[in-house]
Amino acid sequence: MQDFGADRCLECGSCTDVCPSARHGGIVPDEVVRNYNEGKPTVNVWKCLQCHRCSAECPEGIDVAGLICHLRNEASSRGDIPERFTRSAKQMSKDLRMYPIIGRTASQRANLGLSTGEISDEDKDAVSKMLRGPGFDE
Amino acid sequence: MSDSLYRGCSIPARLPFIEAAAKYIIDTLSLDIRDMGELPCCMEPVGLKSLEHDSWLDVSSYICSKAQGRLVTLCDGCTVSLAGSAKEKGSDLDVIGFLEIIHENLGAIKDKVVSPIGMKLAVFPGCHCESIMSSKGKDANSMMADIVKAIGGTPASPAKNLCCGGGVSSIDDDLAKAILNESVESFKATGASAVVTSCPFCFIQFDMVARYRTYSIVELTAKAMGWDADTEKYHRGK
Repeated sequence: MQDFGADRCLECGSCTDVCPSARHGGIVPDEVVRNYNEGKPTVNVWKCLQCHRCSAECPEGIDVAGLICHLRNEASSRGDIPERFTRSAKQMSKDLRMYPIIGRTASQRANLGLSTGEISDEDKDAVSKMLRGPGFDE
Repeated sequence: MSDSLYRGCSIPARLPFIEAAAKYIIDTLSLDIRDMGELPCCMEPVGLKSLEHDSWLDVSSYICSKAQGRLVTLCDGCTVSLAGSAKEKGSDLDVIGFLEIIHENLGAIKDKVVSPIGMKLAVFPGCHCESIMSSKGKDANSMMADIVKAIGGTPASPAKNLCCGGGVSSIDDDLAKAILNESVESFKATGASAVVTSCPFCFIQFDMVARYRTYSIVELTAKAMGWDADTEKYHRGK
């Protein structure tokens, strides 16, 4: 079990003060930490930007962004995955890259004198076997 | 020992001019950085890491295991992902972004400036760059401002704790737009003619989504050093 240091929370609200999502009605990081400590469910985990400003600001060194990522892992294991990230996982499973090099960028690369190579079979085999669990199973 | 350059997948596939600019800087300064070649995605830290922790840890650790010397990244998402896995594995691998490479060579870069950029630029390294620098006790904003000054520009400071909103794009588009607009309005309020960033995702959000004039710090540094590629066609922002 990862230790995010959530039990050290002083409820000072520093994490929420710096959160760009909270400023616009998204996730509220100090609520997430409080709910986690009280064993309550958290909503809006996918409205976190994973910008890590909360973790950098916390005076107690709580890894708030890491905790939210952990809660996203839990949501994901229940099948609660935004369509955007389902697509990302499919793309990663297919090409082992989030963004494949296709026609337009291939020609931009050629114009810039950049190579367009392939991932080696050894790396493809090794990494393909590492992709498992929610999003990657299909 | 040479350092190792991991190019990631976002910049090679979506913003290859930044990769070309980095290579120009490496070559012009004769930096001892070896290209690691074609490798899989780092399992970026916003979406893929959120899906399954062990898959993220295994893949990003695999990439780290291929590095010799320091692992140099072009994308700050890669920096966060790879540095995070190195830390979790107890590895002493030093993962550094290209902003740090530019900053640690600032003296040599100043000597090579032939075309000072002459612009006032809002400085926005990006959340991931700021986070990783903060974890090392460094301030990404002041590092980027140092670079802007060294290449003949004038840095301007927007509000703190901004974000490009890319992390919630296509999840909650109203939220993403509000976060993006807040940043662009703050850049405009500085009186700058454009924003300069280190992060490819910020570049895409500001330049291609908000259509606000955006530069990569790698691109501007190479340009100031005499890189003559026509990068105008890669920009959408006005």
